[in-house]
Amino acid sequence: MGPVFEGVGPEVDLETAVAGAQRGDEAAFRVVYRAVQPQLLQYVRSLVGPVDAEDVASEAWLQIARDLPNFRGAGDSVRGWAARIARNRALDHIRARARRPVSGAGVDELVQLPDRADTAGEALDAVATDRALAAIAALPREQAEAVLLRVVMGLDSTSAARVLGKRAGSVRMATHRGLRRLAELLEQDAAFRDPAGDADHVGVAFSAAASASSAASAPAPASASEAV
Amino acid sequence: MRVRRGAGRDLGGGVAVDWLDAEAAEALVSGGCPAPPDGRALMSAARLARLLSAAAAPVSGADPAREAAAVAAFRTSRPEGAGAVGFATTGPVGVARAVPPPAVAGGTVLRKKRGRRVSAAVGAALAVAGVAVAVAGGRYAVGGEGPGVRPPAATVGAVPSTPPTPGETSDDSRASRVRRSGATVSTAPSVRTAPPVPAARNGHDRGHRRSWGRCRTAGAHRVHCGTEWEKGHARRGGRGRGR
Repeated sequence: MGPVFEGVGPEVDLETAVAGAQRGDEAAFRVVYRAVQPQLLQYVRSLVGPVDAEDVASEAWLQIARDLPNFRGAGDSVRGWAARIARNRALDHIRARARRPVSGAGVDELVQLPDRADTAGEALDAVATDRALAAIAALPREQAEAVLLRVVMGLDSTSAARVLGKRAGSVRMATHRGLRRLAELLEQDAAFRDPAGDADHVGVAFSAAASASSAASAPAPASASEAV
Repeated sequence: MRVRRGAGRDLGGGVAVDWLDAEAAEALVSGGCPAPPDGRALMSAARLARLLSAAAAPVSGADPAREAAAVAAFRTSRPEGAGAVGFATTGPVGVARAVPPPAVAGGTVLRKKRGRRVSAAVGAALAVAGVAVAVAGGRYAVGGEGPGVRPPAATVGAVPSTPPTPGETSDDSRASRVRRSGATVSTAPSVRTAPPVPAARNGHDRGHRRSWGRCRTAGAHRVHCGTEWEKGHARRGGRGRGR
């Protein structure tokens, strides 16, 4: 795997970039953006569904850009901070959406083949990603949020706990339970399929999980009532 | 919560996931490789690792217009005089500072410095740039980044049907002028050809990596798992990383 950013090696020094951005360095801000945005967008996508994800993530970035000078944190903690902002914006969005009639943002939307795919393989992968997110999002909310922050945002349990306002231990436990549930669903699913069939493993494996929830695009936080 | 109950076999129609104790769970979410004792559990672990890998794979392709909007917001909100840092001082910084964040989120215009004459023009230029890149990119023009993802509302609303010349938008030229002295970051269009990949995950895990080894960068690592456990399925696990 080559360098991820031009002129920036794979090991992006996020801390340095954040410090630079806090001094007003636009290039440094771009480095922060590019290092954080892919996962942040994916995380938001898992919360609000694919249709609104980009808009919500953009809202989050406006706040991040505005508040970055006041951010105090070491190392990689900007990720958790950004996730917290994005989560708040996502919850705002979900609340607003709940107040108006929703036209099916459900699993059908999630598993549609995306137009963006350049190849069939990419299309399958994209579906796999969407189904994986749907499967996770179909977990009980606490578990889903923990797994998403840890897996999608790449946070450690302490950072994830900070985002959720919980203790690290309870986040670890919720993660564990969520993974067990996912593993059970995968096993159930595999029991009905021939694993040697070389089918799209990721894609097919979630049918049980995804169908477990009819509103998988934003199930976990959709029931969110807490103000964060 | 460490649950290790027997060998984890439940062949009576139930599901055997007892291999997945707390330690294995931590390993999985940290990109590690739990090594369950028997083959069946190994398969189960591989399946779960693949699911997590798929979930962690970021949507491929970056939207330059979104980045431009974020950077514009950054520019607008940074304190006066902060531009004295680095190369941002060269070139048309005065104009750049006056750029309001373009409209985002379904037409909501978020700007803090209204009333500057240039702002509207530059805002429109940014929007044009967005559309230009979108048109050039093709994939953004047809369907955004994912199923049902619409193109940025701001760019669509601001510029109805004028496909500008790709790559020669004012935003591009302005951006490259701003970055002229020693820019280390690629310009917006190159984001499309080389989508950002969260390499910083590597750094992030320093310090709390467990004994499972250093293989966080989710996709990369889990591909590794896949190749070890189920050769032939490996590609499934690490979509798009580093492409």
